[in-house]
Amino acid sequence: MTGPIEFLTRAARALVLLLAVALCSGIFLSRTTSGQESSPPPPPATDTAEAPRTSPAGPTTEATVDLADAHANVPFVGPQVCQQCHVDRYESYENSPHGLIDDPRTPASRNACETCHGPGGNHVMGGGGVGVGGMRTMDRERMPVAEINQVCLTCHSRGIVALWPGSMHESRDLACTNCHAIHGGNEKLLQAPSQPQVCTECHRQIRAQLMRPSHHPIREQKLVCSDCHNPHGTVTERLISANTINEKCYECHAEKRGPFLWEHPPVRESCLNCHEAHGSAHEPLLRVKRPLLCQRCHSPGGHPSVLWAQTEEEAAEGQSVFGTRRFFGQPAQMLFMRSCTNCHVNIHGSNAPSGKLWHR
Amino acid sequence: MAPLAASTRRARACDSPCVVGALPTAALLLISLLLPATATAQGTWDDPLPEEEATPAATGDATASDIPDVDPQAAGPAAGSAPVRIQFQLYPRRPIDLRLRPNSGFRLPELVPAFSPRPPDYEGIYRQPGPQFAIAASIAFTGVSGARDSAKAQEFRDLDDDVSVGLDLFLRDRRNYLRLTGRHLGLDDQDAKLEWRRPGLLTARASFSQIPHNYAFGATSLYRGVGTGVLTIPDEVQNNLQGSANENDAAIRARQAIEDFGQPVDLRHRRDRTGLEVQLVPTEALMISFKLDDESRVGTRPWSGSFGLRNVVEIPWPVDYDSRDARVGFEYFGETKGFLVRGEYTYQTFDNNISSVLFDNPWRAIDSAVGNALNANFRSGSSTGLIDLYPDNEHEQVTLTGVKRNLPGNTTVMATVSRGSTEQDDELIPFSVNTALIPGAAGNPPFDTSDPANRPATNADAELENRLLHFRVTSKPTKRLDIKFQYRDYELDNNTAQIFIDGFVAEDAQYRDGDTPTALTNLPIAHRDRETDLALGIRLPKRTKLTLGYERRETDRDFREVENAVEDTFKISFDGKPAPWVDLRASFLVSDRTIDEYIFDQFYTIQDIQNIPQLPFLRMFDQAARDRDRLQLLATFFPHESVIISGSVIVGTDSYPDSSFGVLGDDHRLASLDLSWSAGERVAIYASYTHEENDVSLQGREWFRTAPSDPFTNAPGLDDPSNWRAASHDEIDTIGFGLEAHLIPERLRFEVTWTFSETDGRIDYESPVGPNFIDLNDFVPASFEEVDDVRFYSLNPELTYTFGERLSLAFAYLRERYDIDDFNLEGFTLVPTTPDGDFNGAIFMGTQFTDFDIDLWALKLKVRY
Repeated sequence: MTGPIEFLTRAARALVLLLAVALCSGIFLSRTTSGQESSPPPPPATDTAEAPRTSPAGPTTEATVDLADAHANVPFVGPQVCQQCHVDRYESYENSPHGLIDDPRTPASRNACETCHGPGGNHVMGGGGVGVGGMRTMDRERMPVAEINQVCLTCHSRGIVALWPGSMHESRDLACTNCHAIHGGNEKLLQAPSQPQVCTECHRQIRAQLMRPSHHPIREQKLVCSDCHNPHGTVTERLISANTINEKCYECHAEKRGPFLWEHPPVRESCLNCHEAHGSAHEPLLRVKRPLLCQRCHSPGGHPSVLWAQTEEEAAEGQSVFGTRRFFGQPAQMLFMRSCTNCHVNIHGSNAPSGKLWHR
Repeated sequence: MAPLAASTRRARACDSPCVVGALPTAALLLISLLLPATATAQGTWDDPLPEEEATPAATGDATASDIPDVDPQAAGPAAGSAPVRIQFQLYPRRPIDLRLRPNSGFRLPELVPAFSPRPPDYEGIYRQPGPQFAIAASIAFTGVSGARDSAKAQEFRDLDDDVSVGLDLFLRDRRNYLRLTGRHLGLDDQDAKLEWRRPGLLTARASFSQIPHNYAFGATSLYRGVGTGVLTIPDEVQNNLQGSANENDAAIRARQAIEDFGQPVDLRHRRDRTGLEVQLVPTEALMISFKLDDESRVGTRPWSGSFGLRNVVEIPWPVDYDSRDARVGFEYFGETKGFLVRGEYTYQTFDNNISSVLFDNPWRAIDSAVGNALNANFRSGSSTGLIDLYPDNEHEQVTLTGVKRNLPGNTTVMATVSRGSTEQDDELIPFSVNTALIPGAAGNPPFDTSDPANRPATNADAELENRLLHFRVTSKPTKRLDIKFQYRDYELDNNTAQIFIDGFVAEDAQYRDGDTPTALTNLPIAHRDRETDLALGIRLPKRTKLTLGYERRETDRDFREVENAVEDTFKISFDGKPAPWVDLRASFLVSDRTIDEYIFDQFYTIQDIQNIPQLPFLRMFDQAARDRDRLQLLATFFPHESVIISGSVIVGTDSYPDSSFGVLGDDHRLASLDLSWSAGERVAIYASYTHEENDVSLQGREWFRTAPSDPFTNAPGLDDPSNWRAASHDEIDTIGFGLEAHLIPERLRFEVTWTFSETDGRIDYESPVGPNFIDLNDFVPASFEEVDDVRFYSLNPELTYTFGERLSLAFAYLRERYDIDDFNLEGFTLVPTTPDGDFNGAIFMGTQFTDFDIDLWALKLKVRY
């Protein structure tokens, strides 16, 4: 794989340079064209019979728009009208938190369906249909992502969503409706019955890791993604909902917080130096099998360091490390089972005066 | 089906009186228990409501004369009456009894296209005034076989022959929202959550959860006092083993001792978590929150202890932890000015109720102080060992965040400052419990190491301080351009008091002093990370976006091999939906980490350690110069409204150009393919396949002081016959298949999930061949082909018959099979020996995960009202 990767690396670096040039041009062009592109007004639906039943030309730009201006002077029709045709959607909305009418912050206490979808006067007059009357459909094929998100952000702009601008998912153009089905029946209005199911639709590597033998109890439903991550934005890499990765780990593994008299430096810097948080083939969540895990940083004198067989016959017979001969008088217990941590037991840090090498 | 017709049909179904009459006796009993609760709840929650408020929703604001009138009859009972509340019903698919589908939360992606209309996930609509109440309860009778074959089967769950209950209660009126959920009630992994909301004023949640963690069933231990901090072995065992004539005899005696005195022990612990969270909204702009989590963890876990280089013993570590996490916060949001400020104070504590573990040495009845006890033989050293367990600690953190939106150019500015400290002041244990290590004999310490008075300090006096500054500006100056600038500065200071010691006792066996007196010391390691991130997003035609990013990360470290490192990363990503039938996401990054200097001996020279025990050529991977590439592609196709095909490719490489020893390369690759197909209105199928490969290559050297391969004397070059190279290769395949079919609409539903995952690991060794007097790798550098090779199958069909609106009966079957092959299982015995039968340095308990094959049958009765 090294060859193709090197090729891709070179190609990507060249591409970055080219795109930098393109960027400058793009900035120039965007300045010259800004103001020329805007969302077209909703098409007037004067003839019900001829009104398009499929998507008309919706907004074609991804620009942020003023939601109120786009529907100025269009009358509201009220939810009773909406449910004439959209009974399923209406019922699910009624059953959702958005339907709590005594909460002044909900759509139910404002303009109900039209709070999010916009006033339906033109839509009704046009005889209905997808996109008729300029209704907001929250569909990425008909609405720019920024516009979809702005509908939601009108109300959901605080709490866990406060750091959404500039977050990874915002930068990668995810719409709120990628993960949330506003009319759905799942907790937190998620698109799927559980968080892992939603998140792993894109994060395939994580899904595969969760299927590995050693994993956090996510498949057992004792943890969910948002226990560690805030997908709406944080101040930490990988959308970790703590100031550092380690601080997040310490919330459940508080015993490893220390600080210790004898620190193990890479442990203090990041648990991920040794552990694969979502899942690993190697217990307990280790990135590689011991002793190789430790040998990534240590090649100490006086320790037998490789799994060995004394003869070719032994090697051919399965290399039982338990039945191996001594190596320069050293037994093999430094290598089998927990390997290095058979002796260096307090590997996360020791508080014993004799814990310099984490034996005690 | 037309929506209105569907609604009418539902209404008819709701009016059917046949439901209760069809209930089996058990369901009637359950309902009879629940009905009084219903009545009580309705009475309690029927607060006097204000007069119907003329909300915009109620009036519809349909003042325009050209809006057609609505025919209340045609619109159904809700139309024309304001506001009509619909009786809430629970969503029947909500997994209130996960025992029947332990992986239900991790099913493969649903078949339903993400952006297409979805049928509402509930059924049965009532329209009646008053509070809305719904309850669903299930009772499951489960029979299991094979669950105790291996603790892996129940690593985080409870699978026993048992009865369990699931509960989901919902109550709502115009003012309140109450929800009570219970899962696996009656089992070891039960949990429950109660949530009460008073919209616009209060949200309160209380939760309880038990998380079992099973490590080993039926392990064998010589120790008494399992679960406590004092692990003893019968004296006669210690006396007998100490009297071994030679290593061959030792192995025989140890095996006999295990047979005579070994006791079966289950090694496991359980987390019991209780949580309380309250959010108050005294004004629309202000929110105050309080959160408290309390957890206790009690039990044991398998780990190790040692008494020198030839004597490892596996011991049951005691676990008795209490931890708490309390948070108080506020948030103020000035909506008109787009200004948000919030703050939070966090206080976390950890208490270990067993601060150390004293464990007997199987091979010594009385303490000894042989000069080279560490390496002399397995019977030298102390009769007991003392390991310090995790110390108590406290952590405080204060965080303040401000966000200002609506600045010119669609600009948002946000800043976070945070400061915290972590303290630990546990009492130190003595250097050793070996009472023979007293001044006198040659090689012994100059003081009695077992005397607590000779500790270097009474308490640890350890403290860390952290500071965080995060600043982000995002702007959309034009409709096609996004700009993001971000700066993050995180610093971890270490204020731990340094102790200076002459030496220490290694493994309670041997005193090891420094090259000069009082030179050995703990090093207060610390680090600081500064990250600067700039990203430009360009919106292209066809709803696509291109993002270019640059990130610079500077890392400063104290007391480590590399003091300063800089990593530059260039990123490019492409996201979009250029056509209705495709969704594309791609990203690529290239990074280059450079370091100023790698001082391999810094850690030792600071302590005046002359004989560096580490290979000088090795570069630790987390600090070494590194080149990194990452490519990620995700493409989702919608060739038909009922079909979704999605493929993903991830390729990543880490190479270490300046490293001759240590990690040389670390690569991973992933390819996945998903298929979802709605094969008609009643059948959904999904399938998935993922293939992963991980490769790590590294190089080391077999050496010891004065040996031919000693890098400091005899072999100062990079090439040496005692060098070795290892290549770790893991291949992981994951396959999943699922089907959901409504065999009889609204009556009989069948679901099945099948998954298979296989991990195949191997380690290949290479070593140059040299004459045995200079080649410490004078052995066959064999390949180990069984490295955590695991095959895991899961088959989970479920057949559900619904009796009307309120009752369903499900029969579920779960088959799980776990096969593992590993070189640590091949030839394993509790007392390993060499081919000649000599004791090989360890006594184990038998705690590895082994194969299991589970069959689980369950009959689940689900009632909803």
